[in-house]
Amino acid sequence: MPKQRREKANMENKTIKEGLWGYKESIFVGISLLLIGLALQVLIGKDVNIELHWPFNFIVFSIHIILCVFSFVFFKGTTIIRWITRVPASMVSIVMVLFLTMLIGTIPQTLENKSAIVVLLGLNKITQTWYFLLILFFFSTCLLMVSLKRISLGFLSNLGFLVNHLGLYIALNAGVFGSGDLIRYTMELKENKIAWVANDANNKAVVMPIAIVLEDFVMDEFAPKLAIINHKGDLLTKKGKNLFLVKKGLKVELENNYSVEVVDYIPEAVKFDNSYRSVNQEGATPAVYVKVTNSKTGFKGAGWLASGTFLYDQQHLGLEKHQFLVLTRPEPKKFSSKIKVFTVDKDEYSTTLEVNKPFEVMGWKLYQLSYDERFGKYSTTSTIEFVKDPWLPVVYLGVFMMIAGAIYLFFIGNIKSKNND
Amino acid sequence: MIDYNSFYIISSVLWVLSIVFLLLSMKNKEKFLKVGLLLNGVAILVITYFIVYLWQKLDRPPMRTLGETRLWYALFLPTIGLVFYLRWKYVWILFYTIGMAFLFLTLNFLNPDMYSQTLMPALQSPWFVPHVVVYLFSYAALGVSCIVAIKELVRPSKNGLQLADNLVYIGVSFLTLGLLFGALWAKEAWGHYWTWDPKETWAFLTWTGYILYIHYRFYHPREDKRAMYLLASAFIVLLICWFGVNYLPTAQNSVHTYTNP
Repeated sequence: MPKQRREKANMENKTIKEGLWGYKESIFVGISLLLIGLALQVLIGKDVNIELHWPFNFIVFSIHIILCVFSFVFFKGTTIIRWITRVPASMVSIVMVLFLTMLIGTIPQTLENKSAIVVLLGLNKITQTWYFLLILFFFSTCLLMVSLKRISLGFLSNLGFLVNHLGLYIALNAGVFGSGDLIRYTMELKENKIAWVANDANNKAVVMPIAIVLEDFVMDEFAPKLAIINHKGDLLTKKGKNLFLVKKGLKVELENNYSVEVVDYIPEAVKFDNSYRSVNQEGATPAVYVKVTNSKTGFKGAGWLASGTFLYDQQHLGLEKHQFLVLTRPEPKKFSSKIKVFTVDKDEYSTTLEVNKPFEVMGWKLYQLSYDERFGKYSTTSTIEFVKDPWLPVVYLGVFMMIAGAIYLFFIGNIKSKNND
Repeated sequence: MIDYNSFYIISSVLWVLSIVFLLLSMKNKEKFLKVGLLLNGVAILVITYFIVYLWQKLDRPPMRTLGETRLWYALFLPTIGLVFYLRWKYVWILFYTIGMAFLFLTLNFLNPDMYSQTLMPALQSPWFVPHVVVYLFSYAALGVSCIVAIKELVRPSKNGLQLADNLVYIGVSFLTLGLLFGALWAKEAWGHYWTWDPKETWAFLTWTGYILYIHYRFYHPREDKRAMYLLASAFIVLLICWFGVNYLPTAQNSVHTYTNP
């Protein structure tokens, strides 16, 4: 270790002697880029959209790679190339990215923000501003240049370094350049109706090469829960209590010494006179018959509770002191759309779309997005999303390189510390 | 009913006893040290058992609420502490990790969650468990590295820097995996791998902070003090990402806030 340190110290001394660019110059470049970007944003930010589409994104991406390789190969010895392949430039570029990302993480990135200064500087859409673009350019140029330097020093011996740095370069740039080609449309489906018109982000209609028939929208729900509310409708259930899903025979202790026994539980019920009966019908509500006792006050009660749906009212049970026992609305467990897909190429598919389980057809990925929440499981409409992301394989190439890099980092951390013993 | 309290009391008592024996061992070496280590090991097993029990009872991975993530932290911290003790022989790392696990259990005891069995559809994915476990393991390793940094600032030691580096490399590799698993999952669940959701943004910031540390250490191997300041402050960013995001003005647009059932 001491030997290494001495070598490093010598290196640093050399740096100063030979007048290489270091932190000062890096900070100067970083801040200049930020200021130029800010000026551009203020002057032309409103009018010029920096998002590039195919093939221009590909061309600019290629030019960046070609220029970097060219300048590394032919101007290796120059001050600028030596500067950008060393750690101070990298660190300053990381700090600049850190700074802008911190702004993104603190200032809400919504177009609803109407504050004049925020709009002028584009602080509510930082990722689409000129200064963000220039800082990303600085950052990814550093990434590529250090990678080129390591390749020139030996590809295999620097493999760990390269999968990390090149992986990030590829994932980041494919993501940034690819965002111009990313398409997301939503399509609203109605049961047993055919649909082939989707909407883009601005609610403009788009004709798709794919038609969809929603055969069935299915939702599984969790069982409802028992809770006590006061006359204002506030939940009294304290933290630390279990909110267990009801089932027949469940006995629970609730707040204020109430114990509740679930005598009967009907997932789909309709009220007849004073009781509930199982009815398999649109709008039916979950219902339970409960017995309530209070060990302290001696209160005894029994009755039906119902969650209520868009069609039927909620039914609660009066306790003491203006408090009520209620059955909560069930939460969705799983929702899916059974669909038939027809393409312009006359292909036909039957599939089920579910959250976390998209379906791929003709380069489009179809996602289950939402449903009509007013009707819950009785919704007959389902909204799906069409996503096309042609750059995804490139992004994933970078991502998998970084995963390999992370595993490398884990082991090198161990080896490094063991060698230093 | 989930009997949280008896598990809490058993592990807490075990950890307090473990600390007592570790303290005794400082005067009368070896003899009590092993007892202390053993008690710590048993407490870790109890917490592991509790997590498994909770998982079965709730019929979903216990990773949805902030309290549930604290439970995992209380499992990983002393485990990392034990492993790093065996590797580096620093007894203080045991004190710190056990103390923190005890603190986190106490937080859960004083401010318990409501245990709800429901799990929203977006979280029902094979990615859920690896994403969260990898992150919390990384948080635990980086949490220890933060204490190493503070300790090095107060009282520098011979191997402290290497210990810190070792923890950071392990922590960052898991942090990277957590971030990337999250991106792969997001693509399957929401149609895009990166949406600048506040939690994503702060996770990226946390990652950037530690990347900065690694670069700084690489370039300035002699500047111990500054590196340690950097390491300690990177943990602040991590904490904002873990808890703080909920309180930021950007939080209302997040899909990541821990649920309050």
